[in-house]
Amino acid sequence: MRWLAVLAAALRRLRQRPVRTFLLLQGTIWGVAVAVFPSAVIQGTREAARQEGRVLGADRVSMRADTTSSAAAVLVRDDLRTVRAAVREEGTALRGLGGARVARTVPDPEQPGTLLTVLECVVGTEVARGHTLAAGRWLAPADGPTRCVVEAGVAAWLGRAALTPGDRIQPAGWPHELEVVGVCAPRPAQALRTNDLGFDLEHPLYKKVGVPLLFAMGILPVPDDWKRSERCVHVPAEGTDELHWIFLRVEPALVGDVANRIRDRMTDADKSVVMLYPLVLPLVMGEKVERFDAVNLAMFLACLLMGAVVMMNLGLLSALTRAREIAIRRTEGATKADIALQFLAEGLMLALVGAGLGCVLGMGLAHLRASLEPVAGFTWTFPVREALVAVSVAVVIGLLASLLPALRAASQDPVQGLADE
Amino acid sequence: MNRRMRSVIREGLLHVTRHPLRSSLTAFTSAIAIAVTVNVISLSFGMQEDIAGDVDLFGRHTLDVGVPPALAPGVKRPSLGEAQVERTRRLLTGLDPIVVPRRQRAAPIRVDGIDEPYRLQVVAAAPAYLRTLSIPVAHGRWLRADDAPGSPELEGTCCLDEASAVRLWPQRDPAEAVGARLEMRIDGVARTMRVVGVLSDPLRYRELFETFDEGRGARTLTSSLLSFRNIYVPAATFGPGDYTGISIVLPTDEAVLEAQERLIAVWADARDLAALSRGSLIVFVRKQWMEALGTSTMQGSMVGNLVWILVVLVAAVMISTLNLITVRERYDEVALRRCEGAQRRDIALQITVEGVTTALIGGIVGLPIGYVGAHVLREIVQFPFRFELRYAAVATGVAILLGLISSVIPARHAATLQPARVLGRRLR
Amino acid sequence: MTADANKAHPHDPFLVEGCADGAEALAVLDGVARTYRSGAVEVEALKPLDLCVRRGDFLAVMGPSGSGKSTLLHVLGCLDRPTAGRYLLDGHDVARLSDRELAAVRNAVIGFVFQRFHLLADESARRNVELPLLYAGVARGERRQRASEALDSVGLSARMTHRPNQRSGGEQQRVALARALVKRPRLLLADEPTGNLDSKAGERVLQLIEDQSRAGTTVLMITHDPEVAARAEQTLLMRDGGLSRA
Repeated sequence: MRWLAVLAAALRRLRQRPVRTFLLLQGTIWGVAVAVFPSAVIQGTREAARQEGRVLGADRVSMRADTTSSAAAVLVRDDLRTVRAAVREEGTALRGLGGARVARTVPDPEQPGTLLTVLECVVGTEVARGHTLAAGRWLAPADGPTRCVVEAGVAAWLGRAALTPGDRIQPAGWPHELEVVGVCAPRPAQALRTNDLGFDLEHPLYKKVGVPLLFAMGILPVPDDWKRSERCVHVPAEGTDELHWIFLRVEPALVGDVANRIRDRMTDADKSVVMLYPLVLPLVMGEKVERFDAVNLAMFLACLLMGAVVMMNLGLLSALTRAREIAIRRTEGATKADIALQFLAEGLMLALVGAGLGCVLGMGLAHLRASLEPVAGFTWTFPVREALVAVSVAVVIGLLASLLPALRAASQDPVQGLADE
Repeated sequence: MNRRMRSVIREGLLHVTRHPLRSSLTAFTSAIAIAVTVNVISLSFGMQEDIAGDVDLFGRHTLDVGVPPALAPGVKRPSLGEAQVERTRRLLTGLDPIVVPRRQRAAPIRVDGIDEPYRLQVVAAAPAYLRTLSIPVAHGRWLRADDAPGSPELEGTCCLDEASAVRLWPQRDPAEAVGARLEMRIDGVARTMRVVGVLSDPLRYRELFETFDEGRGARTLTSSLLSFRNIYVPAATFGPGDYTGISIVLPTDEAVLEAQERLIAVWADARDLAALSRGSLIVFVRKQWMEALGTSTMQGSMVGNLVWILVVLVAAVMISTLNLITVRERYDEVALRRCEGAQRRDIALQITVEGVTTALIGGIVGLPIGYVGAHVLREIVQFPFRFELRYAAVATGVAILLGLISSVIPARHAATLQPARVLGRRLR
Repeated sequence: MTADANKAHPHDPFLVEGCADGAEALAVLDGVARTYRSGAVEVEALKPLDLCVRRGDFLAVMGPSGSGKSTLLHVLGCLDRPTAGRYLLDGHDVARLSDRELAAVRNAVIGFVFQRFHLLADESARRNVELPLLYAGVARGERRQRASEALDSVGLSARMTHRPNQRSGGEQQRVALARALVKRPRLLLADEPTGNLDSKAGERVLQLIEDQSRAGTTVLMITHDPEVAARAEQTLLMRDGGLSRA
């Protein structure tokens, strides 16, 4: 019970000198914060990509012909086979595969700029585009050209309250009436603000940083509003072989590899294609990002070391200036071990408090870092394992740093201490 | 500087030497901060400078006219043929341009004994194309007008980027690629090409570019050209058809701007989204692309360097704390100096000199630590790394700044001390 | 404000005696008071008091601890400013002097000797003595010369490079005295100079202070030892912030 009292005394002393304590904690706080925050962002984002891949489009690859190449610039139904083979080669499963021709775009006379888009699709395109069903069914191979599956916003565009399976619609200029067989569920707001490259279009930094960065990488903005308009009508592709777009969904961590493989296979087939997929999430999902942990580790140790130096320095100084206090304690029956323990306890308390605050600060930094990223799906979670490691290291270093002052304090002559003052 | 000031500075310096343990601990903190700074500078700023330098080679006076990379639904691909090349020439009359139309596409490339083909970008253009880059030919020679185009019957001639040579023959020195043969399949027809020259690789940090290149699926226009992993073939190698781009070299920066102005009056600026939907040809100034790359790597590294900046800030707080503690322990000394006629600014100067000196000593110790650390990190992270004497100067500057910043509060604290209070406290 | 303070208390004829002749006066306190604010409580460390210190005076101030002796010394030494009243030092109104000028006054006019010596622990005796000259901007060669002379004059030439903490209390106080004398002060303020010394060492220090007084330096010494006070020409009593004649 004796050491409990010593710990309590140490804590009391830290509370009595809040400014000193606050300053002393800096190294530990920042060190731990720096250690945990990148892991927090990486782990949180990975989890988000895994769990909400469909919403974020993290599992989606879109592909179109490359207009800037001399190779054939038209995709056809046969290319789906190349895609399927390439995905199989990559050793992963397809979560959806489809292709579509943008058959017609119909502007809304009352709202210029809003288009109704009719897509001539192969079977499975709705799923490949990440849709879920609200009512009815998907298009099936047997469906003729008079059936359609509509996105959630089509009803409103047509001026109707709702569309249900069995309703009949006729987009302006379309040769015949269409029977609605399925209605897609409205996509989450997040999905509607995320483009094919995985950027959050409404993020304040997207236009400022994201677009110039993409430009710098040679990726020009593409007019693709129709994809997020919720006003697409999917009709079966009949009598046409050409596809403007091919869509597929795979495991989020593999979108980059799959896309590269498909492009290679298409090149072999004398076709040049542009693959669109979230650019940043696969990086975060990949192993490569973990190499940067080494940098963070170095920074963590640097901060902790600095903190330890300050703690040791102050500890040494206070061992000297607290000679009187030590002398009194010694005359009142404290052993050398008790004095040493008291200093060690202070170090331990500092390290624990600092590490705790560091975790909190780290989460704050993680939040800041995640919010600075104009990429959909950047978020953070508390990295339990990394935090435990960081806290333990901080405690060990804190104890080591207070060892020298503790020994110095314990070896002080009480008689001298009393006489001096 | 008068004698009194010199004396005060000397007092500060003496104090640093009188307390070796304390000074070295403070210096150690500063050393860590400087080591981190050197790390940052060599890993990040050095890298940026190099990128800027590399990018300079991409053709500072070059602009491109090309097909937009994506078209809105229902918009037709604009044509880019002889007519457009002629028009470009006419538009740029008087600017002394070199106008080189080109065709390019990815194609599977086979070299002997390897089953799986490599897919590389093949660029077909007139020999003047080399003028649009600022890269020297490292081995062999560049293409000539009389070089044979590849055809199924006749062996053709080609040049390689060094990175292409390394990729096709990983075991060999790029120089040995000259004279080697490769098979290129275009439109279902295989042609054999003989390598006559290898361009030197302007990308010092290829790996970094490859990291960026994660998004290469979406990369279009000049970016695939500028990855410098291409094969260059005579213009006639590809069959007839539209060009994919026109590269234009102009003699001066002003001419580039003038040319851009003239061209976007007819076609569209590459960054103009609306123009992309109209299906117009687009005009792309490489220098602007470089600038965008520079800014965005800078911004990117600002966010990425958040950690590093934090560490330096923490170091400032730490050293500040140490100095403040030191001052608090020296109330008596400060009071006595004031007693003996030291003025507030004398005290402040002395404390500042102490702080800066210690930080500077730490900085000098930290330099080699940071240098070695950056080397180690480069091995682990495989990050480009560069170190120059200038960076040492910057780090020293940071050390001085660190010392100054972290002395502000302690110096103020010491200078505003009331000597009577301290002495009185002691006597009571 | 000063006038009001003057009205508030009657002048003590003894304490201002001799100050009618302005040429004689080195330091004149005219209704000087010093109050401290400690939280909500106002502590009157010095009640409004008058004092005239003439050139060449050797005064002792006695009084129990907490009576305001040290505050008086701080005010006289320009370390502290009075909150009321007027302090004329060598004809200059101290209240009108800037912080920098006060520092210059301390540097040139006033010598301090403290009970606890207040030597820089890490510096040699010589460098301790050089300190005031350093802030006076004296060249190094002259500084050394004068410091050696000052140490000589207190009988400490042999061990000039030794650090203070390697010396006895008496020697330390003599170093402190040398530091006070090296600037050739017009007013030497000694705060319990023998308080931390044994009687033999104390006697030696007192002897040196007496020598200074005899050589014409004005001395004001605080002590609570009547034997020590008896060495002065005049003794004043301090009690509860007020000054009276012994």
